[in-house]
Amino acid sequence: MRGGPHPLAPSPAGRGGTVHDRGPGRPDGTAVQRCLLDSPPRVGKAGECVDGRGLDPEREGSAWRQDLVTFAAQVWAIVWKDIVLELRRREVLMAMATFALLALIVFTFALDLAAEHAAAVAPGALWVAYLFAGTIGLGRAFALEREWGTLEGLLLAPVERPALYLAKMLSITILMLAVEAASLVLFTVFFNLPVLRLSLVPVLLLGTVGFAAAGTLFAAMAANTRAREVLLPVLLFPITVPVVIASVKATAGAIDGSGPGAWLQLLIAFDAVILVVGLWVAGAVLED
Amino acid sequence: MNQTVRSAARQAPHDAIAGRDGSTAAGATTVPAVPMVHVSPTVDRWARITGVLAAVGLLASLVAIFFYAPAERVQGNVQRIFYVHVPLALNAYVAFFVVFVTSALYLWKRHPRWDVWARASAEVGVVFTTLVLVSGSLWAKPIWGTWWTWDARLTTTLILWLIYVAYLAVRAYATDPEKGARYAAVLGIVGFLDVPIIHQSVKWWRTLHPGPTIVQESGGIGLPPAMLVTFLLALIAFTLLYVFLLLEKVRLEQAKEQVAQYRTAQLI
Repeated sequence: MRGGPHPLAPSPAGRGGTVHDRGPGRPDGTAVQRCLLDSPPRVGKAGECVDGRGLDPEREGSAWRQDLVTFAAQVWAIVWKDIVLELRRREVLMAMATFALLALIVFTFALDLAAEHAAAVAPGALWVAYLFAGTIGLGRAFALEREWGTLEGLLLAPVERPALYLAKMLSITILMLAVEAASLVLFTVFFNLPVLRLSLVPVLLLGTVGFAAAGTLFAAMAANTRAREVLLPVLLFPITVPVVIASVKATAGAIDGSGPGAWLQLLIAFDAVILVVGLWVAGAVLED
Repeated sequence: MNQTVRSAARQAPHDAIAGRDGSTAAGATTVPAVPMVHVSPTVDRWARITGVLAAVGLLASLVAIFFYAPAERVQGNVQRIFYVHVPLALNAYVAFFVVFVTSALYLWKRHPRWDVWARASAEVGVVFTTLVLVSGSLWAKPIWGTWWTWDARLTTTLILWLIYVAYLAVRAYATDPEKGARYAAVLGIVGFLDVPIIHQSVKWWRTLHPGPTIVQESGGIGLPPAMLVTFLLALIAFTLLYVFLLLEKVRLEQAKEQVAQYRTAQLI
């Protein structure tokens, strides 16, 4: 991928503070020493700096930054893995794109999108297609991980749970954005509506991130239940009601030129709440 | 039947558990110590007390609602459903707040004790929210001329109901109870924090529901004294009902956990 050691590969002690010793504290005190030399103590994890001597105030700032770099590297490694996988197999992406296209065609028949009132119905039709495609993608992505047993692999890798959550969320966001971009082009061609606006970019980004942030959480949960195809939408759609309303309204504003207004702030609030909670509870969802 | 469960749970001392603990300590097995849940005598006692109080309170408020409170000038007798509707709604919010707090505690401590409280409160909350939606519909038909409108509060309540139905579903469909507890706790936290955002989004979308009646925006009290007394009585009665149902459910879930632990103890 790039030069240097793979971010997921366990690195030997003493290099760059990436060692997270999760084992019980050793009698000879090596774990404690590592804490002093490298990373800051992680409160609450067994075996790390249990005696409290691990805190080194002088190194704390830089070590914290080092941690962030490690975190980013872990996230990027998993996102890159997902992108490479998609570029080679296109399994999730094709399912999502086909579904979005079919949804738009069905809407054309059901709502007469080609007629005069296309501009009024278009934002709703687009977002329903995106959200359903996103749900399909989420279900598929986690189903594949399950079928190949790769989720266990990821859970066994020395990756922080929040990093894993953020990476899966970014992967699905990238896939959804790709599908959204493609279907916007198609929409313009089919319905002769000027939906390719620059002001649509923040709406698409914020709406998709919010949906993916909640979706990743619930898809990981639903994948471990008996009725996963049913449970994902049942869990996801009530929670993402604000995303649906705000995205549709903001898209309508962007298309007719009146601007997205306060809806963007609502999307930001939703994204922030779900991401913060998601990172916090990632450990509880992505376990065994 | 209820009584049997109660006395069985009471009589069964901790010796079965102790026996299991003893065998673990003896080094026969290396099963990690699972946190235990027992039927709490305090919960049992307070369930009885609040049960009696709730029954008395509900009877008293029923009398007050129909014989003491005056008929409303415009809405007539239909308005009397307000004394049931609003206390139920307030207690439903309390129930979901309890779910939120105990879910956070469960994810933090990972002790099944907190999960017992969370699932008990969620079930009562779903029942109350269902009653809120039904009683609201009954009131809306004669007053608004329709069973349902897509007003901000109605829509938020409906979505709230859907979230906590999903909360119960994720438990029911989980492959093992511990996973179900973890997932439900996540939903209990995300769902509760999501409610203000849902409400804001639906509010900008549309609003029709009557504004705050009891404590008005100007700060004054918007109800005549007889109505206010009836309302407060009903509020106390329904709060007692909530506490009673919560405690009764907690006791039942504790007994279930205890039975499950006895089974495991016998198997090992």
